[in-house]
Amino acid sequence: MEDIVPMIGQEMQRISDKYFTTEPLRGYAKSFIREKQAESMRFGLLTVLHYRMFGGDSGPICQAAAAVELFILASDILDDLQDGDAPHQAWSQVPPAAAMQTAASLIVLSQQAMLELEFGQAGLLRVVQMMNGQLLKAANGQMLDLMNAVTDEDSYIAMVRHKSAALIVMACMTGVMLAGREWHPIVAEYAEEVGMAAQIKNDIRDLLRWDDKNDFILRKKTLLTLFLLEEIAEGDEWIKDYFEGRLQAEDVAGRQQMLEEACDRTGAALYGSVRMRMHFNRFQELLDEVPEAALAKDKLLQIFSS
Amino acid sequence: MLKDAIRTLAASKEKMSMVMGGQLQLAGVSAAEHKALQDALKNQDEKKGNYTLAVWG
Repeated sequence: MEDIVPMIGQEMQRISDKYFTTEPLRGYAKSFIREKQAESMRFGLLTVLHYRMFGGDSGPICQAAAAVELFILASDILDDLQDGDAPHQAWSQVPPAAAMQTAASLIVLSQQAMLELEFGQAGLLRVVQMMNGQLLKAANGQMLDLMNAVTDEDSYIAMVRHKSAALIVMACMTGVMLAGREWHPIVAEYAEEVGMAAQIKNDIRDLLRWDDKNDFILRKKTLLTLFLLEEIAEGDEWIKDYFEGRLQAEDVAGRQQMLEEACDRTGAALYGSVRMRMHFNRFQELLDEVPEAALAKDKLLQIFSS
Repeated sequence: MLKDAIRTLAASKEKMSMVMGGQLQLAGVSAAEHKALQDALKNQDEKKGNYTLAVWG
């Protein structure tokens, strides 16, 4: 599968060069795609793998995978601009307005790449409708996350199902449907489960790191921070005070070890780990229910662990 | 309930060991939750960010 990655990258560059004909848009898009290519193409790989799993063996599937990756790239750029926490990325090193304009252009380019695919028009329309449905679902989740609108565990789960899981569903289902199959509910469900597991894994990491992306410092409501705040133990009141704005960042600077101890003592870290495993275990159970996945199981697990 | 069970375990290393050894069944915890709990306890390095779970993040 890894040999597919350069092909997806080349497709992204080809489509970009075709439509972005003037500088500096052409140059920005080229460098952003190059950076994306060097990082990962997991969503595109999911599209190609699912296409093959469900019997697709011809057609320009790399172009579809490129369309998926162009959207993911645009979404990564916007996410980094919103958070302002990825100064090393190529899109953080150009004027923000230019990065934003490039991201918006990449979204349209992604749509154009799909519409130009040489698949039957009726089938293609169904795929594009499905993709847009999932992308709009992700847009709802992204806004909830951006506004830190989560209030409890149920709203957190709903936000992640929208924001993270929908993109993985979109990538997998694009492959399934381009292979000529209908929406596959079990694939959708396992893609959602793995998306949930991945997000909780991020949440554990982002609570225990101690830098600008720390969820505690950012007062982000996640499965773990909600657990931590639910029953504050004696001596841990400072955690709630910080979350509710009675303490400021400078007041809690240097309390990394205290936070780690609180996560251990209260079981917050263990709770995150258990919830993450529950979603991953469910993903594996569902995978076993899809006969088409039998031969591709190792490859699929390899993509998710890369 | 899973959250209560985890709070109980976090407060007692002894109970944690018993769950890991399969000597303690927790009330109100489903089979799927119990399996995930045992897996997580066996891989406690996860809480330091060292994941053995094959999922990107």
